[in-house]
Amino acid sequence: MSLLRALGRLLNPRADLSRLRRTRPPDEVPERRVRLRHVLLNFPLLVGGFVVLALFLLVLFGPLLAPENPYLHGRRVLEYREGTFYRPPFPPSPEHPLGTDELGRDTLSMLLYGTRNTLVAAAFITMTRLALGLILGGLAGWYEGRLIDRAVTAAVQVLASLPMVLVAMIVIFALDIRRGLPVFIVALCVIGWGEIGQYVRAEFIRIKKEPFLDSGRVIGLTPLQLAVRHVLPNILPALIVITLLEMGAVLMILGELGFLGVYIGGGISIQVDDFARRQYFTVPEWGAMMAGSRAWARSRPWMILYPALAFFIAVTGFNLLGEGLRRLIERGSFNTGVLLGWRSLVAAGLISAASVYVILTLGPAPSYRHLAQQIRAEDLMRHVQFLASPDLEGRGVGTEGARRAAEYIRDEFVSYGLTAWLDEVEVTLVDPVEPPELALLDGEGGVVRTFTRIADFGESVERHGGSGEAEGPVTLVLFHPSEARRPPSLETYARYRGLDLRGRVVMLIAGNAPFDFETEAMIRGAEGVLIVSTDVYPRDQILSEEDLGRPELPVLRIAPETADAILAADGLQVADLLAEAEELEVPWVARDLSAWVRMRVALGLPRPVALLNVLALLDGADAALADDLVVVSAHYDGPGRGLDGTLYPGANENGTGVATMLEIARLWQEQSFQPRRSVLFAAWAGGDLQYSGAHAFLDRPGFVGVYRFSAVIHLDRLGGEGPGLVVRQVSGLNKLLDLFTASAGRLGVPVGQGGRVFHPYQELFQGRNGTLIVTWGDPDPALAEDTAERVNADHLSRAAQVVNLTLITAAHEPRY
Amino acid sequence: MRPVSRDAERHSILVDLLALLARRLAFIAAVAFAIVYFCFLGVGLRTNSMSAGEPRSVWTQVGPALGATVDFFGGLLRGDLRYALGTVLTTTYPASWRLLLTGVGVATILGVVAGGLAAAWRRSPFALPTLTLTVIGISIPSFFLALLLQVIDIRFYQRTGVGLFPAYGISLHRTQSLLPAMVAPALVLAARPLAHITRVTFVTLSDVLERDFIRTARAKGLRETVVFRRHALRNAGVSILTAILVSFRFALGSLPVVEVFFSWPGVGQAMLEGILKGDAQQVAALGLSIGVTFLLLTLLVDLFYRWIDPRLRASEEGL
Repeated sequence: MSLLRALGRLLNPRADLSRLRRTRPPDEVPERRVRLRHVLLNFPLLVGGFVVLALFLLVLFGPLLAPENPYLHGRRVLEYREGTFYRPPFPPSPEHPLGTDELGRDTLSMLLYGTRNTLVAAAFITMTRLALGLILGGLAGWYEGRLIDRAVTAAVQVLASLPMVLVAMIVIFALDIRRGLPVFIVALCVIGWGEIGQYVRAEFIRIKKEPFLDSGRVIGLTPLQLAVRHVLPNILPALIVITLLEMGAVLMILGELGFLGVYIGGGISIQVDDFARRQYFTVPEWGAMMAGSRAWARSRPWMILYPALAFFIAVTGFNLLGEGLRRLIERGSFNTGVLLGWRSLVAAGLISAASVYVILTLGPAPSYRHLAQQIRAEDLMRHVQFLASPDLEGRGVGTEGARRAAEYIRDEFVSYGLTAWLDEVEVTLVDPVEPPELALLDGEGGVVRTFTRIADFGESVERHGGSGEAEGPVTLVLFHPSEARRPPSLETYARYRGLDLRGRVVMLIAGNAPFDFETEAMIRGAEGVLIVSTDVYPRDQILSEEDLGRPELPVLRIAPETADAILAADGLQVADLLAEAEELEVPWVARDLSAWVRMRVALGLPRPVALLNVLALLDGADAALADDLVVVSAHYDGPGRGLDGTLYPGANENGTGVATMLEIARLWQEQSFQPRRSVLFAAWAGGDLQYSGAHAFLDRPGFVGVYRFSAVIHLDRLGGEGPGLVVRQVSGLNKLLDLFTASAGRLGVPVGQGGRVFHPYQELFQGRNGTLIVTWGDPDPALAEDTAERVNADHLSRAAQVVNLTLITAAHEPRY
Repeated sequence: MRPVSRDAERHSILVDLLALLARRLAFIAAVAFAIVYFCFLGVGLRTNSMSAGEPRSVWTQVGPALGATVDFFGGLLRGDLRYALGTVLTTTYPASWRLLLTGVGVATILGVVAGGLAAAWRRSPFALPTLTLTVIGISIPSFFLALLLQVIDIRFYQRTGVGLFPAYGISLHRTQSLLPAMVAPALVLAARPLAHITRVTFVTLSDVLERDFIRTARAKGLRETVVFRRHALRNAGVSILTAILVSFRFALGSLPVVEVFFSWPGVGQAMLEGILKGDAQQVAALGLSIGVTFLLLTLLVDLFYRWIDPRLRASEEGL
């Protein structure tokens, strides 16, 4: 074999180089393996990479690992363990692996939640610093020696000559720390771009002199193109290293600021004794965790040591990763081209997607939503079923059923652990002894149509309204709009000269007629008065003793539909009449209609009735905001049993509102959610009366003077049919309305504006940020059909969740 | 080119130097004004944003702050040291500098020695871990180190009944020696500068020791210590000096935290108090004293560069 080969070699005219080919340089290792070895032997790169990756995973999934949610609860006052009471701060124990802070909040949970807040804040600050440093440093380096260069260099020197923490503090306080993260980004960016700026400037100066830039200039690139296409790629690897190191520096200064008591948002202040207040943080963040704990550093070192350790690990991780990358770049095993390839684009895309996820689920909003969504339809319906049960007789105003309902509501509040009390109000009511009647007659006295009390009409004992019977033709009196605004005076009689109403029933339109025109009508001989109004709930309340010696004149408030039925014979409609009134050239006009009506009101003697408001107060956690009151209210009683024996169960009307209120209170207490503002849960009595329990409550000195009404939400008919929630703003700013709409949007519940529900007292509650009345759909009172079975439990629970989310935010967020 | 006599050359260098000094001092004066204005504006805005009711516009503070700044310097020029500045110069300022100088001084000596040794043995397997160790050293937050020292001190005391150092609280008014009280804060202040100086010394010296002129120096028979001191260290001098200056900034950055933690009555703590109280006079006086000192320090280091490195004398770098 070898002989043959030797022969062939001899015979071959060409030189045989096969032996050379077989030899190989001894140290040659494939390039890929060299690179791998550089990575694997690079201790800082490995450790730093591991730490940073772990932090990134904690940012995304940390909250899932936390034992409890610090946004909502975790505050503990006392703990009982093995026969001894402990007060927070609790030392590390199996229950709290890293102990708690002085409010009893679990340190481990706060650290895990805080990873996200701290690192995202640091990343934002680093990115803005990088951008500012690049721009200013690049400009200074490009225009070396010019004015801008001198200005930038001078600024860098000034910034470096003062302690950065203190300068940051001054800027943060100047911009108002309570504005949260943006202030920190601005402050730490403005004072901290110097190092990056200096580096970029030096690199620009160095690269500007390179020959390839001259080539670029020759082919006509603008300075901006040159800088972006040819200078930036050259400093890109170094910039990545610098960004990592800067991340460490930003974390360090966040830690130092936190240690000195300056942290994002500035926290809330809590009254600790009669004269002292202390600041506590509410958003878990590593820096904030160290702020309060400094006083405990000697006796309870765990409180501050763990957040400090977290800072140390994070800063070291970023710095090591930066150092490792630097070594890799120096060895040349790091290809800059990789950064511009598709793989890095995919990675950047993934990281951005993850960041979007973080931003979407960052902060308290998801926690609020989670808490809000825990309201269950079954729990709500349990309350509704009790309140609407026949035993309670429809909770008629001032009846035994109403008293039982009030006690039920109070007992529920108390069983949740709230301070709740009954607030008694005495009012005078007059009840019809027999059902009031309203009928439309034909010319011969035959009944064409009868109307239903409460739905179509209601009696009114205001002013001159009283018992009486009337039958006669209807006269409509229409006024020029300016008449309604005219103050009553002695000239009134002369003003309506020629108006003869003897033997007639007068029809007026509320809002169009002057105030108290019923009196004028009575003087002019009217038999009865019909007032067209959207509010036809019977007004059976005597507001002052002076009204007792009244003439007997039946006054009925009738719904526009009822009026239209009466007007139909003459081909008229209320809406047209109102339009006609606008065009009127005389102050008033009386028109005899062809319709005949019969009306009858028979009232008993006035009797005093005790109304019971049920009130429950949840004290605000933040001393600075505890004077702000958020009121959530509903009224719980209703028409009760009609004179003809009809039961008005009032399940949707009033029952659903109370149920929602109770469930919200129960949920908050169960999850130990303590809002910063105080919250008043109010179940008003006699909500439809002209002077209701709510009026009496507001008139009473004491409670109201202490608090400022921040927001008021009144709940009514939340289990109705209809496409979605209907909200009506009564007064105040639009903030609460916007918040409500946003909350509904977040939970996917449609919401519209408008709504008919009106209670006389609502105008009195002036919530600064808004007073809202919330219903589902825009239903008319269902009366006898309003049973618990007909309540739409799905609508009710969704409405309750929206209300809950709105309330959580309105009560807990300092600004919304 | 015309030959220049040695005297003329020296003369022109001196003129350059004086011009540079004048420019730099004018710059420092301008910066001093800016610092005081910044302090007045910042503290004014803080008071503005903390006050109840609708916050007023930022611009309402711009004018008054300027007036206050002019007043401040007017008083200064008349020789009327306000209470704040008087106290600063006599007590807080020296107290802080005592700490800073001790910390950075210790860090410099230890750092240069450690870095030099590491550079001399740069081929040993311990050199690279040293570099990694310095990265970790730079990453230690001052509050963490202070806490660690405290915990160690407490543990040590619990074991042996002897305290290592007074870890908490000192009073400058007592007649006792300050030295033991200074140990812990100075150690904390020295930590990051030490890591930084070690690192820079190691990196630059390793670089310089690989240069040709070192080989030449060795080849002509110079002793290793002379090579090291005269040729290597001097060439690395500019970088090391810069590192020391940067270390001063590190220490200055940690100063408020350290002073608060150890209750050291220095500039950092006083300035913090001033900011929290909204005392603009105090903040301005302290900021001015520390800012001007650092700018002067920078100037001094710049002059030192020129002395160390003749190449810099001719250049017009910097302001």
